[in-house]
Amino acid sequence: MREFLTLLRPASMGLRNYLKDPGPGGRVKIVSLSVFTLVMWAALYLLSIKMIRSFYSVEGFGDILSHKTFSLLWLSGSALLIFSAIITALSSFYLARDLSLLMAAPVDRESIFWARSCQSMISSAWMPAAFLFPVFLAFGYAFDAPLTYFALLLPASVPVVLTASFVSQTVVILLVNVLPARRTKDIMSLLGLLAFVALYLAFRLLRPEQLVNPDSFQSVAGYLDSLQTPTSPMLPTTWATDLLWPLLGGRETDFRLVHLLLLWVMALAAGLVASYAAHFLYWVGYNKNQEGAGRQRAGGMLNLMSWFLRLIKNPQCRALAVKDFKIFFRDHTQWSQLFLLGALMIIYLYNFSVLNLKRYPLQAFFLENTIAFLNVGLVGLVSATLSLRFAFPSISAEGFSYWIIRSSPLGTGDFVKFKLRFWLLPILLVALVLTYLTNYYLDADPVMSATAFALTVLLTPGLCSLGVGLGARFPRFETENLAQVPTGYGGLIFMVSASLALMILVFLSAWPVMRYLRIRRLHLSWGLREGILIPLTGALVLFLAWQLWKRPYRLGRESLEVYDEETRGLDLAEDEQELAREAALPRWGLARWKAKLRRLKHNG
Amino acid sequence: MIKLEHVNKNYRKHQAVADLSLTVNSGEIYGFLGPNGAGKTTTIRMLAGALAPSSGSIRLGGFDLASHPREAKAILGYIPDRPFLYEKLSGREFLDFTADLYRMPKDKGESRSRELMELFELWDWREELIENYSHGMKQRLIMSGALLPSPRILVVDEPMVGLDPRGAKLVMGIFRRLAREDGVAVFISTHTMSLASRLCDRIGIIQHGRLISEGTEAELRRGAGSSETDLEDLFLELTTGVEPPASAAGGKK
Repeated sequence: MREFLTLLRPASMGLRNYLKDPGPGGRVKIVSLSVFTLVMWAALYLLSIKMIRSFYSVEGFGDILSHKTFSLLWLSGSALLIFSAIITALSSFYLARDLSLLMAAPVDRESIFWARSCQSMISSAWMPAAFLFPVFLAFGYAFDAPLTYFALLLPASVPVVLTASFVSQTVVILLVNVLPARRTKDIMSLLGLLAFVALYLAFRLLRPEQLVNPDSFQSVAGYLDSLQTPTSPMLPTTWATDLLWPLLGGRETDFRLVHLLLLWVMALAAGLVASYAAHFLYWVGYNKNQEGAGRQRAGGMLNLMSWFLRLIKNPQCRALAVKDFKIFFRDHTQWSQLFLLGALMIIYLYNFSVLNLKRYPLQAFFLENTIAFLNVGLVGLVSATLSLRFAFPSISAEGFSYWIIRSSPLGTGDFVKFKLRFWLLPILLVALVLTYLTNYYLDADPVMSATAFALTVLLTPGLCSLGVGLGARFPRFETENLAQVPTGYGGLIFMVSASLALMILVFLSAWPVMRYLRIRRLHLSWGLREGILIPLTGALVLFLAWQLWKRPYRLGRESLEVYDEETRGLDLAEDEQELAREAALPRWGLARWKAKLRRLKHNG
Repeated sequence: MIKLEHVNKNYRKHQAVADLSLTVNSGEIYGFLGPNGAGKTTTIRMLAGALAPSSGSIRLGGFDLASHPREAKAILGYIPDRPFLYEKLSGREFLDFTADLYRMPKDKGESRSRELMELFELWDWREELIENYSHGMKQRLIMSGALLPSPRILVVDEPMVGLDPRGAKLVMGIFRRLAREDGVAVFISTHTMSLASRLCDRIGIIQHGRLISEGTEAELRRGAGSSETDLEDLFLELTTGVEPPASAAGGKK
């Protein structure tokens, strides 16, 4: 037990040290993230209450629908947990850098296993738990549940988490004895992503909007029938549902505590199986994994795929393009995101293809063209998302190898410019295809289509520049997982800035567009006001789009020119001292403001 | 070939390098020695263009690194102490990338890649991803990359880290040949006294960011007044008891 606690100490002490001294700007980060989490919880809680009430109010099958939703939440949360636990268990048990140090220490290997099991459980469970917690509370509130429901939520959730984690850990121990850990991690991550994409596509392509379409009553009756069928009685998630649902539906007489007992017995049994697997197979698998099987080799398809990049004339650009292309397609954490992108595009276009506005002949022209205009904002959001996923981490993607670029005859400006061009091309292409196809489905007016195209061409480079620029301003060269880069502080700033820029530009363009539609629809003539204001607004939009393109790129280049990982730590430590000195001055005094200004000026 | 004039590097109030001036000529191997935290890596990083000096000038082959960074870096080969490379590229792809980055003609890049991979015994591993290389192989690949554009200046930080005795001997021979036959100026930072003693024409010792002694091994001995001691004892004698300058006191570097 003592060994187990000692092995947990680095993680707990790291967390304690971070909370005690989160570094410069760290407190702001903690506070802003806490506020963000609270707001998200509140939103999720209120939204869930609204949704549960609207489900319940559906006459005839409101009760079944709510029950199924409740059960589905347990099931999907548990499935998510299993996938996430497999990935984290692989990293904690077999791939973590400190394992060789621990294996060489005079500690029992089973203690290492249990300490890692505990860490892996916490890191895989916190995310589903954080999302589901307000939803389950909302169920309690919406159904006016007794206190027993709230009191049983935790004792029912813990064994579900334990069972899912132990099952995942057993699977991992067995898999690593067959496949190398790194390959297993790649395969499982990919499978998880594919499962998510398939589920996402399947759900949308089922056309749930048909449920509110009176023409499809026949199929709803069939759907209702299928809903009546019971779920698997052998799943712990079913026991959790069966334990809590009677308290929600006002059927306290059906409440059985035996389900709770079943949940805990199952968790203990899963723990026992995991412990046996660890006892017999963990060390064997660990050794096997050190033997380095499953090497990835260069060449083949990727060389064929990258031939067109060899046509680039400038040798430095060619070098960077071939390198980035190959690294992107050899790193599953990067290329697998293309599946998500594909699913996003299919659903996006599908939504427009089923949007039958001709049903409203009188408003069709106005509706189609207004939606075509608003679609510019939506395409902008897609471009912003793509810029966040791909352009933003492109600078950090250099990792510790950034010294190669810095010591080469390639200028920082050229490097940032290359990253911008490299990602702008595919992102702009996606944005233009989306704009073209949505306008086609909407049958938009030619002038409106041209305006939408022009705005997309104006906006997308700016968003991409914002992505690369802020990526260079907040680089994370030390990161091990590139997919985590957009989720950091810089990513948050990017999303806020991109949304603001989008809102301003779309808002500015709205007046001339609406004016044009009104004139076209009511067959009015063009006045002097339009003649002056439309070109003026156009010029303003052009100017802002130009600034959005130029400024972030410049900011990124300048930040990267002065970036140095050694000075960074020292500068930040100095900042911390200055902040402390500043904090000691009277809050509203002039001296404090002067010190603040001096510090900001010093930091550029 | 390498000329540092009154170079200073301050990390805010801490002075990592103080008024450093030195020259390395063509065909010369210069050893840069100093205890941990003396300012060796900061100097090397400034020479490689990865870090800008707070004041002073660095000229490589006559080009000022601040005003003509491209020209200066084009004749420089840099070998860092830690072998961080693009793990998802193969050895051959990394050298192709380097050749293009230094604007080498395609055929010259290819023939030189092959020559260097054979020299550093990496040819059989050329299609293997770098993530599968050992530490020593990565270090040899970095050296191949640094030598690929035939630099006139070579800046090396701890050249023997991770190399086996055979690799170390090979590398020493290459450095010697580059200096003697091709007239390359080699600047080496190291903790290995035997290496400095055997390889370097001149040695500079840095302590608390200042160059406290410079010359051939014999000149250093004469300067210290002890003609019989070996370089290791000489180094300890020179670096023990040297007080940090006022500006560097209390620094964290």
